[in-house]
Amino acid sequence: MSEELDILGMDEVEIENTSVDEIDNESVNLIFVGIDGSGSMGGYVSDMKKSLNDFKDALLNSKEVDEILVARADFADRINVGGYKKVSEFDTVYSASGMTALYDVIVEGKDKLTNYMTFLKNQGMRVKAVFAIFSDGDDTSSRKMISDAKNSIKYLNDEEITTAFISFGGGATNVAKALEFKNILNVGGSAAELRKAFNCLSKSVIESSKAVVNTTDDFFTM
Amino acid sequence: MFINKVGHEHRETGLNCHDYGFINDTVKCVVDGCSEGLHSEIGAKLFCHLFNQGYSIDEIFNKIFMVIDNTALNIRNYLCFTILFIEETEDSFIVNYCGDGFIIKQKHDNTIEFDKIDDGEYPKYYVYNFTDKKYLSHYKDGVEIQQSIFPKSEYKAIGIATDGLRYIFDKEYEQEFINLLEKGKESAVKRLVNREYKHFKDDITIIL
Repeated sequence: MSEELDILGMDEVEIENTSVDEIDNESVNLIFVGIDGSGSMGGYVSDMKKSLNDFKDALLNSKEVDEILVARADFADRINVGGYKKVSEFDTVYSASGMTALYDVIVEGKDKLTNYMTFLKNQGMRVKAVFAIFSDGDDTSSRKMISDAKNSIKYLNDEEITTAFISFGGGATNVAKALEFKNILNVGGSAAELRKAFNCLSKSVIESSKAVVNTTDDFFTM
Repeated sequence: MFINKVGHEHRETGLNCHDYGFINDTVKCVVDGCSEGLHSEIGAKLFCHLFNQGYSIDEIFNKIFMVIDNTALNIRNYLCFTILFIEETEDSFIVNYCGDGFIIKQKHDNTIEFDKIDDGEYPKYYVYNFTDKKYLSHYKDGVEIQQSIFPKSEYKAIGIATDGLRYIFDKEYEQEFINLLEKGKESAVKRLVNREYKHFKDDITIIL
């Protein structure tokens, strides 16, 4: 019975994410991007759409694109953690309303990332990963506790997975430090700074994909 | 398809990958440095670098001896490596070899067969032609590049591999490996070698 469950679980991993047969490479860089969609971001919806499009285009135009799979996770009142897909499938739709379930998205995002990494490694893939969060404020609605989120980040750091946090407007800097993200980028709270942040994220992702070994700190490339 | 992987025992003992190879417009080449040499990858890579530039094999060794002194110790540690390379004419594939390895034969229906090139216990290293005979227990009369010719009417492609390929035979993954070769799935072959790395004790290089 347990064997059947294992097999079902493995199928789910491949269904939710990109199957190994679809990856024409032996190396892959998994990029988790958690995006704050809470109401406080409401004034930046069109800028966020533009920034997400620019982020996607930058990755698509890089030589490393075939080695990158991206999972987008949105968090507001609820969370929606997507699977790891080719960059061409990255969704750039954006809306903002509600509260900030930051801890929930970190815990579930970490679980899904590490499950998929384990699956890929068992198939002979060489896997690196970046776990990045963009947020403008502290958690306001998670079911999980800050200690759960902190444990998740600790696990990722221990596994030498790059953890990165973009604090938009500076309101989330303290929580990013408390959660012990290894890379924290503070940007101002304006449309220009928003674009700058995603521009930096795309450059950093591309640079990390070039490296043979994950750079756990010094991730952000300005 | 070009695959070049370090063997598990090389990793465990801290040896570099002694295999190397290259593909250019006229030649496909793989070389396998002797695992008893401490730095066989140096000679193997130097050879490939110069062969890729169009130098003849004798010219290459003469050039190498301009920077590595021709002593028995240096030859053993740096310059013992097998050489396999393929050239093409309009109607045939010509495999040239000095030392052991494998020839991979792909027919027009994509099926693959292997020919083992086996020198027994003592592989033929071309550097023996430049070695003082008093240090040689075998091949004192020198060694030659041998040739096998395969007609294009019979074969779609001919490949070569170092003797690390021996670790696919009689294993659970043998047929999977061959199927992937037949389909030209380079990344999937690399992943299989990664997945089964404990079985692949020796370095492996494949060109097809």
